Amino acid sequence: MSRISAYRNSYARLALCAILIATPALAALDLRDYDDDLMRDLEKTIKYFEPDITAQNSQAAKEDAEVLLDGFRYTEDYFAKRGKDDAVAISRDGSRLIADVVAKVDKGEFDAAAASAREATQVCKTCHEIYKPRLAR
Amino acid sequence: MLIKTSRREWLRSAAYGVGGFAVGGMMPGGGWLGVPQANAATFVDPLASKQPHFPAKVKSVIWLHMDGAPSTLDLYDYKPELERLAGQDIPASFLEGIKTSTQGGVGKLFVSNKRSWKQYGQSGAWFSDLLPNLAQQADKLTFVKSSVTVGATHDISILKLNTGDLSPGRPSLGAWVAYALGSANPDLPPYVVLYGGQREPRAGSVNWSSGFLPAVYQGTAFRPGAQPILHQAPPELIGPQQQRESLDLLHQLNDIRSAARPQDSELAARTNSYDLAYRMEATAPEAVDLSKETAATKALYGLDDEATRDMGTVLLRARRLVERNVRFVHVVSGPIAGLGQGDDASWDAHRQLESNHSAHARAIDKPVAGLLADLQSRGLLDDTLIVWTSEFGRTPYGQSGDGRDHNPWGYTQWLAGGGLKHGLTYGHTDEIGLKTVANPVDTYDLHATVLQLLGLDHLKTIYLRAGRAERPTVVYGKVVNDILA
Repeated sequence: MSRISAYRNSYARLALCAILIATPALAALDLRDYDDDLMRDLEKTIKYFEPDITAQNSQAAKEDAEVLLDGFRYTEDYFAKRGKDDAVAISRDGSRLIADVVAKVDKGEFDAAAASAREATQVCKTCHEIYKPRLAR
Repeated sequence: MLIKTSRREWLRSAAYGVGGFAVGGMMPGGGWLGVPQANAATFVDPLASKQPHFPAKVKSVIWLHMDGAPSTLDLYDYKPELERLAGQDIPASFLEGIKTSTQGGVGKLFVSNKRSWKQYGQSGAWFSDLLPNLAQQADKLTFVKSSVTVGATHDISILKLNTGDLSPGRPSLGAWVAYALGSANPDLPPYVVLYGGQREPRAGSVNWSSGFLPAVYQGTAFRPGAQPILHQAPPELIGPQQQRESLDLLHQLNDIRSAARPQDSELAARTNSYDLAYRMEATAPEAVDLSKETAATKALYGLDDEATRDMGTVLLRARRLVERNVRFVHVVSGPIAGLGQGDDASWDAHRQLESNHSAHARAIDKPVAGLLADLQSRGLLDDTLIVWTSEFGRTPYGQSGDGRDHNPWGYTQWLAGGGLKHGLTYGHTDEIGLKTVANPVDTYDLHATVLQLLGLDHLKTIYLRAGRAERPTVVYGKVVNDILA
């Protein structure tokens, strides 16, 4: 009996180890259903955003903002469903900044809007540092 | 969302065509820093010297790209903990937050048993036994031991290092400098590329391209040998007098045509180019002619030793170009024969790191130390910025038993010259040198800092392209103020 119990304990330990080892991998796998096309689109648009603002191209800047806002909302929703509060908070920061940019563009405050756009870029980077690790090779 | 964006993209692409055509009319030198409208009567040389945004700390940059990515863990970033753990598996905690290669695998932590370390200078900077000459210049250097980039493959990361993007199309840093500051010497290109070896380095001219800037700002690759520019020397049967007279006649004919078409800036630009090319027939070979350098100077750069002659020649040429007010000298280290073919001949030591790095370090150590000493003795060091950089670093874990894999998460670069806090080490990696843990410096930040030292605000260095205000640091970049004096 005691031998069976020992086996059970061993199996339980092995299973626990396997789960612990696999957790980061599972977490990474978990994010694979994030819309990659959307992410590529966002990465492209964020590179247009500040240049459009600095060029005082209000219409283009607002179009960028629309895409980015949609992206941040999708991201917030995506991570909220997975209980990742830090990513949700980051996404909300992003949405807030984009809205701030649009308000500044509307007032013709392009320098301030460009500064907020740069902050939004940092928001993206912050999230990527956690959920989109830099790849070697 | 994607459909909507695609349509927007399509509209934008169409706008590029029209906008690009319109902007093209402003060339050469268009953009906010350039000429708003040019015609033959009001032609302004796109390479005319321009004022920086604020007083510059340096006049020129020597950008030393170590091709293939040296292991800075074997040169500058001493890690006793790595020595202690060598031969063991990397503790999992170090791998958190990074995605490692599956191709090369994560080998056991690796340290060469031939490596030794010492501190040098008043700064106490660490150098390995591979760089005994550079170590003597320790107090001239400002280390950034927290460099990060995006590491995929060499070509992609080299492109990011030079242009700030992972795919071709953006201007290189040198092109932005040429665009923003123009030329300080009307007889030489403001942006020159020098390379070790006999052939252009991998990925080639895309790394010194002007991208969407006018082509006049691209780097000019100087070839090894007496004639640095291909096809520049006149044919043997045409004498200097005959050539001068031909150009004078051409000039007169072009002037007649220009007078009738004052809106034609292209003709004025072309005439200008002919004149520049003619002048450079003499000035370019002279700029790289080392025959008048003293034996002592040549020895300082290692020209008297076969192991150091190639890079010594390149760096002595770099000094001569800086002396002649070339704004940006982009140096790429060359391959070493005997180390193998292709990547094996560069610093890319996926295997046999000891023999690879011994040879490469030997090839560059004395020349780069000589460059720093020579610039100082000539009073040029304070006006020049020297940057030691690479596309990424290498991992503390081994590969193939005695090599190291690519490491974009934490590696060392250094700067020397004017406007810097010398002897300073900024940022650091973890205990084994895998990841940056304080003050990350991305390529964009390095670019912003280089521009700052040249008197340029990277946020205000703008080129208007199809309705967008493009800048050298894309939408990123922060000046690393902590390393500036």
